[in-house]
Amino acid sequence: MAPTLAGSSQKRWSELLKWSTILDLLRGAGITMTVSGLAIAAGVPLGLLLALARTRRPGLLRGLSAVYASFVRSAPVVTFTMLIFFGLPAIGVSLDPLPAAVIALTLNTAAFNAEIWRAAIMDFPRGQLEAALAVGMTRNVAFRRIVFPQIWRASLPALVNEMTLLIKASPAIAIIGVVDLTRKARQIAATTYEPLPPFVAAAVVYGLALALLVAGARRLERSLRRRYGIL
Amino acid sequence: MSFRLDVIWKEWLQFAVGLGNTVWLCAVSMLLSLLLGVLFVVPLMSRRRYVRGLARTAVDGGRCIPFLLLAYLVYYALPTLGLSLDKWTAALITLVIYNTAYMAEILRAAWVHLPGGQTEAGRAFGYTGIKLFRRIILPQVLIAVGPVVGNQLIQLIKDSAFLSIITLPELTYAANSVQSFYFVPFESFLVATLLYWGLCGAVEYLVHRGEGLAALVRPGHGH
Amino acid sequence: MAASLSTRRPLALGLLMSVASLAVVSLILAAWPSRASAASLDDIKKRGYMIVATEDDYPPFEYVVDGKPMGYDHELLAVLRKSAGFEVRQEILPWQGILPGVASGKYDVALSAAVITDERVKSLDFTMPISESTMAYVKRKGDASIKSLKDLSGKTLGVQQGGASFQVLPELEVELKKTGGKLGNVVQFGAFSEAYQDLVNRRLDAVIHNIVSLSTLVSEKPDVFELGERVGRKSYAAWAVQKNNKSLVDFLNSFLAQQKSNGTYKQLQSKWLKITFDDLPNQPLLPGDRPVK
Repeated sequence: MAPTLAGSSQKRWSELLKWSTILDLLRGAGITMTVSGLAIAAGVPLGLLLALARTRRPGLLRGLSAVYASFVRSAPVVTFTMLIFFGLPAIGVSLDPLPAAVIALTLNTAAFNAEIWRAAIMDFPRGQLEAALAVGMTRNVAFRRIVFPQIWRASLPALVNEMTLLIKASPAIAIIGVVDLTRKARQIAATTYEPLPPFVAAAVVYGLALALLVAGARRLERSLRRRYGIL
Repeated sequence: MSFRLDVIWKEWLQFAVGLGNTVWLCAVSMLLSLLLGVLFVVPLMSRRRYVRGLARTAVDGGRCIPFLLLAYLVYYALPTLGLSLDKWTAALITLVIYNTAYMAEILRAAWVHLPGGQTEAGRAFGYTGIKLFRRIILPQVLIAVGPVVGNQLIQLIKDSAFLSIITLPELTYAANSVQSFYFVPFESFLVATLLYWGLCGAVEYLVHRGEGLAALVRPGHGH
Repeated sequence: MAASLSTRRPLALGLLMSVASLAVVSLILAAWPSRASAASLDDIKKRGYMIVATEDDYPPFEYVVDGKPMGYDHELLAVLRKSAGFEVRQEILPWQGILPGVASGKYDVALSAAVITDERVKSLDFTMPISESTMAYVKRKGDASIKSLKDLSGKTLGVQQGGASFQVLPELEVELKKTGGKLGNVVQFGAFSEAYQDLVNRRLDAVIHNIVSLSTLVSEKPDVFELGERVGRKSYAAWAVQKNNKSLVDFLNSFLAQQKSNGTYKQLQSKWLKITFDDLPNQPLLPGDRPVK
């Protein structure tokens, strides 16, 4: 009879319910949330910058940012992260695992956010912009006070969707040694030889985080709709 | 600067095999999950609350779990429950489960947004139930989702890179294998990323052509 | 409209722009100043710190438990820290990043029991050995189909991506051919913990790794695993630095020689490796006791 490492059902879950294991798992969750949070915080504005670069008059900046965005959006997060962490040092740019993880995720999400912002910018009614300019506002002021407040509300659902995608892609950072939630669950599974409990626990944590994010966004949307009418 | 593309060239076969595996895995999974998605979208649109709610939970749950975690569950956790799969089957199953949830949602959204005209006409001609679904609704939905499915295929291709972690010899695995043996991480991963770029570009192009075809096939308005 | 990668620009122009920008990027890269060169001992002293890289999943040499690094290498590192005179920073990462990182100058030392192989000495310099590291295989306990090395013919084997276990395969193949066998399916893993799991799940028939790590595994789970025979020639594990970084190698060698003579080697070996190697050579040797060069 082949040896199995799985114990009885009861024993299997008892390993998980040890306080140290739960704490360990939460440590991993903390890393995931921190890295994701930082990447989201940096990626949304960076995406806006990229989108602005792309909606300017045709030129080198517009072309380059288009190519960059297309390239990064086709890259799997795992491969891209390895390129940033393992590959960049070979051409002189050396990073520690945690910063590399944040940078990789940021660059990736920024490219997608750029598309979202760009769509909102292009859908923006020209009439309003022309009126603003006619009244004497500069482009910058017009953007700040007329365009931006409207496009961020319009982009909100898509931006939140991209945030959920980022959190779901975040396990990619485990490949460069960052002990995020998924890697932590893997480590626990490897030492206890009981993979089911930690993986299920991790799935629950991700699910909760995503559900919270989506619920929070939905609430924000609702209150905005109430205050400003249809988005 | 020693940009060692010669090493990559020497190992072109590994990259080619990896790329090939990525392509066929994603193509097959997409087809399978499209089929399953069609099956799942029916309960999703059911009038019975209980059925709809159950399907809703399944689809939402399926879209809530990170791909890598799902792969781990299928590949490492299932054996402890008695079901030990080889990595190819595990990879396919993970891809299909993951993608079906998205497909069901995509199909549902397209169904809901169908212009009512054809369906009404179908009903007027006496089509109901499964026949209505199979011959009137479904073709419209499938034509409508073309571009979105194309986008989802790109997502799938990118998620497939996670499978390198369970030692599936797809493209990212090949790149990691070459780089750790020859110490050429930048060249190796850059080439891999470029290949993914090309692959996604090809999918984009196919979707573009498909849209053209669909426009021809789509019934005209108001004859 | 669904967000997609296509723009309204015609396909040809888009393609042209992509090729052009790639050409620009490649030219920049080609002209880029050479890889970060390793810090010599003087550089390290001047800047005040040395960066060592260790693996996160390589018991009993270096591994992580509850966030704390431990193991043979880690304790040697602790001793090194006391006597170094400058700060020693430790990076813990997967194996696949360690040697490439040292070869490119990102890390100063791979403070990891890296096996000295013909392929590696092309881009790295090694210290004197810190352990013997001959390869061996492990199988499921009670697996009667593998009784000796020749029974590995046609079996599915697990090795590590970028690992010495992978590099010993040609030797194994030669051995198997001698007894009329052949090399079976080979699966490369990122980490050995996953290989062991797959061995238990019957996706693999045997895992190849250095004999010390395997002995540790078998002693921890004697009812699950069974140690097999040695594979390939006698080989050694040592710390690695970027090639031609003589000052750093000498520094590390004098440190290690000290630990050898004052008994620390023996003490740590028996504590972590459960076996002492009393006559490790004083210079790095390739498999089969061949000198490097």
